[in-house]
Amino acid sequence: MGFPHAIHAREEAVLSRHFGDSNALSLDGWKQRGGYKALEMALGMEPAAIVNVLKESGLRGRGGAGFPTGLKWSFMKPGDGKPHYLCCNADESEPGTFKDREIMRWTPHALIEGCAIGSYAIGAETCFIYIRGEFSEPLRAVGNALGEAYDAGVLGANAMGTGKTVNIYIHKGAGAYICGEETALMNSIEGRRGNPRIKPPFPAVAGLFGQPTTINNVETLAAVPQILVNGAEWYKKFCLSNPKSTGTKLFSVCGNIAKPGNYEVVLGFPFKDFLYEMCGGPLPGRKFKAIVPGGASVPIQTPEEAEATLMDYEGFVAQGSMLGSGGVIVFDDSQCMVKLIGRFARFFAHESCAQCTQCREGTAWVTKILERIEAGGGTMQDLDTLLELSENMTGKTICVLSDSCAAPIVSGIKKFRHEFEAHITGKRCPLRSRSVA
Amino acid sequence: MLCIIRKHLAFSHRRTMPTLTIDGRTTTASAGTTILEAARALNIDVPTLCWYPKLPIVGNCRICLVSVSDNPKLVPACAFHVADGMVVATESAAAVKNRQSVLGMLLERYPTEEIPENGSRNEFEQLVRRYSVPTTRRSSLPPRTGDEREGDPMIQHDMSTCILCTRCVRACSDIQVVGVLDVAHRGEHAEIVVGADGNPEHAGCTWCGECVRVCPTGAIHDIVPLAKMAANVMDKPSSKVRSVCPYCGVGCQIDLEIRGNDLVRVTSPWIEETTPNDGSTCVKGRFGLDFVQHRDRLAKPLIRRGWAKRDNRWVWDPQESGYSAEWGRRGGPWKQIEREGNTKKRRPMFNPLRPLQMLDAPLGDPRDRVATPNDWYAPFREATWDEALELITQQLTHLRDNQGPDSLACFSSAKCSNEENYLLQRLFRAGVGTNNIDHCTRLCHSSSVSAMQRSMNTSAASGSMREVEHESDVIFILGANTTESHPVFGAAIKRAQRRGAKLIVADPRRIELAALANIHLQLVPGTDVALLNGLLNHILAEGLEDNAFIASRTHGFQDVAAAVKPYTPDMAEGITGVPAALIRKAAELYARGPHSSTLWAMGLTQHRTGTDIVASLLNLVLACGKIGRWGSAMMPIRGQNNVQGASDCGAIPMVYTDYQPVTDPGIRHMFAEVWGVPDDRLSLEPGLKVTQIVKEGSPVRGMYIMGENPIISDPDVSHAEDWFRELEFLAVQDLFLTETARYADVVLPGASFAEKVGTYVNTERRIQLALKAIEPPGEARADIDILLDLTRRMGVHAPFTDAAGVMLEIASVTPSWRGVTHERLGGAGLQYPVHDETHGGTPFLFDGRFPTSDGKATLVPVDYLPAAELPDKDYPFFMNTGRQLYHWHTGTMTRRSTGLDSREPTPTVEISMTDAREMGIADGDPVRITSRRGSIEIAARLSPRVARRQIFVPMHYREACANLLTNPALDPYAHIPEFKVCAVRVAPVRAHDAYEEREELGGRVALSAGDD
Repeated sequence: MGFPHAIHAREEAVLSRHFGDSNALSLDGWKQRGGYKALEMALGMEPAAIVNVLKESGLRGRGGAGFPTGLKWSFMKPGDGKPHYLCCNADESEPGTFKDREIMRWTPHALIEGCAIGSYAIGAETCFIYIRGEFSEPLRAVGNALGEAYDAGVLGANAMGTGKTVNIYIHKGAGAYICGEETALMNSIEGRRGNPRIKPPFPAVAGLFGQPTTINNVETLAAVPQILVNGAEWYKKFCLSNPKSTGTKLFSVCGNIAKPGNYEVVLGFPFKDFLYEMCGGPLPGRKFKAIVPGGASVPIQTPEEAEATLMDYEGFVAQGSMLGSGGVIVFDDSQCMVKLIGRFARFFAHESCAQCTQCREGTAWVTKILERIEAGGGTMQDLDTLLELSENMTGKTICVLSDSCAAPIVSGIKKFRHEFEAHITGKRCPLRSRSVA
Repeated sequence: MLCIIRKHLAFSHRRTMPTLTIDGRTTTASAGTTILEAARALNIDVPTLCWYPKLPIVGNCRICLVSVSDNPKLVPACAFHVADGMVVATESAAAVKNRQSVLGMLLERYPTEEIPENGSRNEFEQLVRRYSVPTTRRSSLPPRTGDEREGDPMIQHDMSTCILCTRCVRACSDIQVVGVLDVAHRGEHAEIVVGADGNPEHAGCTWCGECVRVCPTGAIHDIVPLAKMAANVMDKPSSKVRSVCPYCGVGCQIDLEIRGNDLVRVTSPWIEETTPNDGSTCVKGRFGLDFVQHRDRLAKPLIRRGWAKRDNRWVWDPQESGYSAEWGRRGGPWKQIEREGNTKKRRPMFNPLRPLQMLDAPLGDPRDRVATPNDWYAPFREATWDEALELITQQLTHLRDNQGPDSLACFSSAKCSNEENYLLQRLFRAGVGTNNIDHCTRLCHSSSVSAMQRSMNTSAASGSMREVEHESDVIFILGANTTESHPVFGAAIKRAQRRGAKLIVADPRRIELAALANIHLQLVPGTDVALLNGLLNHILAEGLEDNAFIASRTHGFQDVAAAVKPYTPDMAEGITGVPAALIRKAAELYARGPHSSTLWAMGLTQHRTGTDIVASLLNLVLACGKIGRWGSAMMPIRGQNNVQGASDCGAIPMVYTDYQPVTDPGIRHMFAEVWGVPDDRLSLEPGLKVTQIVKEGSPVRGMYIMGENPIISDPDVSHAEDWFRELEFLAVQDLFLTETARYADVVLPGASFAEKVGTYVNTERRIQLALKAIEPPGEARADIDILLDLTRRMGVHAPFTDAAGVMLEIASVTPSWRGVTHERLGGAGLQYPVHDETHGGTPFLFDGRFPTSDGKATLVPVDYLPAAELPDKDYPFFMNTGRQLYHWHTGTMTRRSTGLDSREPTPTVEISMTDAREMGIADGDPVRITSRRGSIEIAARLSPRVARRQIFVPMHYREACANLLTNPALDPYAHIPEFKVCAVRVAPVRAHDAYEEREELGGRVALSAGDD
């Protein structure tokens, strides 16, 4: 993991300002950069007031679903006599997404501060940060920062000398994508198999250990301190298009593109400028063929769709996809779409928790078919089967992993049907050289 | 109080009753019910696979998805709660399409070629047919896999038919609270696994078969030995008969599946039926009933060959052809139990304990491992019923007339029905004129009965198992290894703990429940009184006693308060070895309850101070007021299927039915009238008890034994065996030629529980009816017929033809069974007292008053007295005896059950790791255990459950009979022997030669000469 690129002129570095600045890793360094003012402020406020600021700011969940954070926090009823919990979802495993990793690597204290504020705001004394098991460096960074914070009395039974209790624990995942699903994550913390739970009850009613629980993404929580310090109005101004999508968002860009990396832009930024100007456009002599804008779970966009997109929650939906986790995966004309979609499907088949029939059987089945088509053994009937299976896999299961597997397949067949048909009629991948076939 | 609050909450919760429409039918359901529950109430059949009543809802099969108004997605009926105004369509086009898709996907990895054309074999295939899903596979997905249980003698897997509904996983972890099964791996590789390494033994499997019961496809199925269970008809039972399990006192209802005259399988009632077991069974109930068809079953009466009929009279003639002089008057070509205990036991070729011994050929018939040796039959000849009964009648009459009625005695049986027990005591009281009637209650709960009688004039549990499971806040279990001896109740206790109940376990061993318990009081064996007095001392010191209860409901509190004064927790720690802090904690937990249940079994009773121990426990119960309220049960857990009923029906020497004393002439008159004999035929003298009968110098010269095997179960067996050899006449009525029956003059073949109609009383006073499923083998007769025949031959009026008729007479002479008839015992039976024909039974007792003359209970002060024999220099170990999960009592039934005996084929002694290491004993090594009374050789089982210098020997094995060693010291009130404590020494058997030498010296003589 290297250092991040220099900040592009059109980026709005709110979260990523200190990426690459190793001095920001320490507690002192972070305080010099304005850290923990927000926590100090928050602990002096009424929890409800904090929630109101967040509601006002328009901050929405950055993990994929885009649920308004303030509203989510307001579901936690104070004084119900039950312990409340905050979970921070740092199990970032969506293919093509690596923004939380950078937040934790470079600004762990931002996350800790956000977690502490969040815990206090929802009446929780305990917060769990569930970090993906493969994230060794982020784990180390957050672990060190947490140690410092405890040593300095920022956290613990008397957080910042206010007499309020904020405890944060790190829980290390063990390499299961599904544990990024909020209820599977809670099962995993409880020591159970990471299976998503049936909803309702929602976590705010019965979450971790059966108690009211709020779960937020790393990026969401990391944004909280600055919102608190600078005010909701300040944050709300970060908006280029739809007023429902405010603030800045980190996009992870990878694939066949000139300058991959993490880019932070104000929501509503034109995707075309983002791809061609900020990220340098396609590699020399190539042109874009397909863009997956929000991690592997969202429908695939054609370049035309992408170029017409404004980068916010509504903008991506308007162009046939979703903002998702902000993991932009770019494919150029050297790539075989059948192979790519097959790879996605195989990922989901491998990561299915195996509870629901449609997901367990469906993901494996579509993978088999896609791999068969890619190898030149498919039939036209297979395409119908794929669409039929995808339909049966959508909206019928406990969590949305099965839907996520189906989304690229349906959009892929719709938008790149000619490639599938070329595989079937030519009985081989047209992009592969004859000698290999 | 909590209970009231809970109920109140539940009630207020229910006040909002949503009205909804399901498939066009409007219904009202309480808030919090699921769509599925509401639909089931309307008899609308929403298909389900992963859902099963009472199991946690996981909603993973996705087949129950239904359309709901205003919801764009389908919702799972099993998990989605009803709401007001909801319109549900269970068979909407979308729902049906989804079901077809789910079934289709499951069929892709299912052996579709095995589905019968247009038919179905299981729940899953029924749904495939119901939704007309084509059974041709389209994908090339591999068949499903999972852990198989190859060679397992009871449970088999065929994971190619698994659909991963995870019912088995939840049944294992949430009903039985064992957690052997789980789902491993992800995605298409997901499969059901058995523990971490596929070995059920390592995973703690108890072979209860709950997984078999819930599996919707038969991927997990039971297996019964073919040769025994009728090979060709295994899968096709022709009918099903409801019965009651013949093992422990939980009284599980079971269904016997039969074909022709063969019992082909045992299943359990549907989980939603009201049964004491909620349809669960343990390994014995489900897999341990093949003894019924064992080839050892006696099919004809047997008469000892020396008996000959001369001049119309039976005479003993040792010269009679076929009788060998070597056998003596009452012997045969076999080793006495003592010699068997001393037989040289080769170190087993395999480790008898681990790994699991699977049978080589599970479908074969490995029944020969344990069977009646052929030469045991040598001293007997087959006889006709007429000959056998004539001989018995002649000898009973002869002894009665010549040596007096009290020269005769009978052992009734806790395994026999109420009707049979009643008839046998009727026969001996009215026909012979003696009260020498007893049964094995003497050896188990007699001390509980004497203490409970003394204190509150009762002799049964005050509460129900259900209330312990659902309502108790604290469960105090003393000397009861519930998970092995009463596994279905043990699981209920574990479920109670999961619900939030606190568990306090007092036991010298760290048994399963002790390991789970919130507090384990691991006391030195036999120091129970000190512990219980210590608990009460602390409760009084803290002022936690229930003063209102004490004042209004009891006598004698002050005496007890004074008596427990010296037993401070610190003083109790000195005696019991239990840390004083734990005693204090347990006392506070128990007293604060608020609903504390008290459960105990043999660990308290089988001591020479058994009555005192139970009395000190009752003091604790009464002082804290933990009785007479729903949720505070006082429950001696009964060990045999009808030990409660046998006592209730008068098969004990001091009382008639319902504990009416034989010494009361008025009661005698009532019985004499009903039985049609003159008053003076019935003795006013209380009879002798088991331990007084089988004793040197006892006046008893002739015995009739029905279904008991005292030669294994009595203490100090070598003396007991000698005593039986000296009898003038012995008749035994049993299923097999038992160790006791082989000394008999006449052996009568009786019927097993499956071959007769009868009622049994379980540990919570529940009278249940077991129906006849099959005919007894050969000429064997239902015991009730045998007893009626004999009663008439003894000249006593017996106006009955069947068990139902006998029950009418029992009800007429038994005040607390007044309204009991066979007709009323369908379903879950009746918990007595049943006051009249319309009364519905009594789930718990003593709400307001005790059945004493003034309605108050009495606290009886008791002092600690150590066990009769304590370890010393020569015999440094405490020996404890008891039951194992896979065997039962003297092993007559379980050792003839293929599955059970294959799990526990070898007698073993539990010994602590440390002791074993010090003596150089490895797991499975033969060791010799010697007490002042005898010596046995047995395999060592290194166990973390026993404390240092303590060993545990199971009671089930003839070849290493624990009762060769036990101490016959008796409780002065109940005459129960001290099975639980004696002093022994343990030595490894290093070289077989050394042992042979000893055998040459001649058994006990040589050993005791060296010992004393």
